[in-house]
Order: sequence, then structure tokens, then C-alpha cells
Amino acid sequence: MKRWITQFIFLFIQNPFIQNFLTGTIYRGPAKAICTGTLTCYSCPAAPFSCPIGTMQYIIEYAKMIPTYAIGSLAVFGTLFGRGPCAFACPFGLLQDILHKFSPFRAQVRMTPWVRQLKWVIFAAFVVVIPYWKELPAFCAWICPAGTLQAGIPIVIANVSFRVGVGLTFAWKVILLVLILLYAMREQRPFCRYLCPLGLFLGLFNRIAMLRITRDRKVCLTCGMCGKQCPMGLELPREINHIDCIKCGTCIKGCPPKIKALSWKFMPLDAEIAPAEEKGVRTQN
Amino acid sequence: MFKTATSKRIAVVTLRYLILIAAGLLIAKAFVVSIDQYGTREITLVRVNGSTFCQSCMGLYK
Repeated sequence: MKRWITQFIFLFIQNPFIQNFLTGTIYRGPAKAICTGTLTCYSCPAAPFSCPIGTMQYIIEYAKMIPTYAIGSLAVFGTLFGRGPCAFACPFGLLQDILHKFSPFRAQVRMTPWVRQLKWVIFAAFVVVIPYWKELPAFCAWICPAGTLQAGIPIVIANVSFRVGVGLTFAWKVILLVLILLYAMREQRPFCRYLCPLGLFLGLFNRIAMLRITRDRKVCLTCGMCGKQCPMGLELPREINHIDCIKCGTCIKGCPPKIKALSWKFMPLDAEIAPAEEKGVRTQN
Repeated sequence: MFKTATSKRIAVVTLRYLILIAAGLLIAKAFVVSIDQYGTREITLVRVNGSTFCQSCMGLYK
């Protein structure tokens, strides 16, 4: 199945209450206790589930404790799929993909080495330290463009009582959203590459995740064709299953048909092991 | 770090299942263990928070 079909299916699964956009209200049922593995704002009128990053901040801020439920939920998603949800289920990732696909300014840009570390700062400062110290969900309040798009803008438009109160912070968030979306027209998925704390958390599990992209080293020529279209701008095949790899499978399609060195595997036991490794030779991955 | 592919494979598979078990325990803890003297569970906070306009998405928080 093509990836964009899965993305749209998950878009509708994660946003079934579309009628709430008209009233500016949100769903308040029991499903809100479920944390998804994607950046779906729990204040989005159409969303039935909770955002794990928003939940983390709230538990840290309100209860001053380690958010075990959100961490446990993300650990399950991460161990099963790694950053796979970023590629196949995240609505904001889908939007960035669409903008880049149809943009006249698009370019295949490699991930900037030092900027990619910005995610760590965002996670530590805005998801952990500031919520604990200042009792403010700083990532949601100052950065999250998904929240601005899915919840902030629709609610401000539909709900008069909120509209009168918005000010500079909302303006900053809208400007940041616009900048990210404009830049997504040039470089694919800039938010996922450099800013997303959720992607960082899931990426920590990439190396051991059950869903893997495997490389047959017997046939791989290390020609680099697989990396030509990588949406995350990774250096492939060296960085397959790297912390920033979203396991979208674009590299598998990019591998020349006569070679087919890359493939999907779920819980691989033998296929990922090359003969060189069997003999004890150190390899890159 | 690992001298043979087999030892690496065993380590990865073991780690996977250890993480899954730990994650299961963390999730279960949210349903079972109270976090204050009133018997509030973490899952209650998650659900209540998810059902509230946190307003941070609109820059209205505090």
C-alpha cells in the first residue's frame, strides 16, 4: 500500500469528529485517555485521542512527577515501529509531505548536521525543564505548530469567547507555523528533522525497533541511490534505522531494481545479518 | 561492542522485550498507583487534561 494512503487513513482515524470544527468544541470522552504515537493535539476539535508530548508536559507541570503513562505508551510504539508513526500516521508530517510534493521550490537537501541536534534542546527545555520549573506547557504554548494548526486556529475562528483573548503569543505561534510550512516547500519535513521532540523520543528506539529496513550487504553496492529521495535528508545507506530515520521506505524504492538490497522486515532474526557480520567483522549499522 | 552477529541479535531481541515489559508496567502503574492522598490515578489526569481546553495552543495559557 502506498504511504500516502496510510497517512490519510490515519488522518481520519485520528480526526473523526470533524463537525466539532464548526462549533469550536472538543471531544471529551474516554478515548482521551489514550496517547497516540503522533503529534495530534488533544485540543483539536476533531481529535478523540491525547498527544503524548502534551500529556508529558501536563503531568510534569501539574503533578511534578515522571510521566510514566506517556513514556510507557511511546516506548510501546517505539519498540514496535521506531519512528514509523512519523512517516505513516502523523497528520503534520502528511501536511509537510504534501507541501513539498507540490512545491515549485522543492529541493533535496541533506539534513544539516548540527541543527539536527536542536530536537534535544527542544525536548529538554520545552517539554521537561520549563514545564517543571515554570509550570507552563512550554512546547505547546510557544512552539508546537501542529497544535496551532489543528487546535489553535480552528478554535479561535469558531469560538468567540477564545477569540477575544488571543494576543502576541498566538501571533508568534501562527508566524512560526507559517515559517515552518513555507520552509517545508523547499526542504522536506523541516519540523520532523530539526524540531519535533516526539520524533526524537520515538527515534531513540529505532535501532532496536521490530519494524526495520534491512540491507543485504552481499548485494548492496553502496551507490547512494537510496538516499537521493530520503525525506529526512539522511546519508544512506549508512544511516538506515538511524535515530532520524522515519522508516518511510523511500530508500527501498530508490534502490536500483536489479539490486534490491533494501527491504522491510518485521522482527527480523536472520535477514539483517550479513555474511561479513557472521564472521565477526565490524559493520556500519 | 558485540563480537559476533549472534550475540548482537540476542542482545537486541532481549532489549526489545525488556522495554516492552517495562512499558507495560509503566502503563499499568498509571491505572493502579495513586499519586496523591486523594487516590488520584495518573490516567485520570491524562483523561481530564485531554478533555480540557488547555488553551496553550492559542497562546492563552496563563
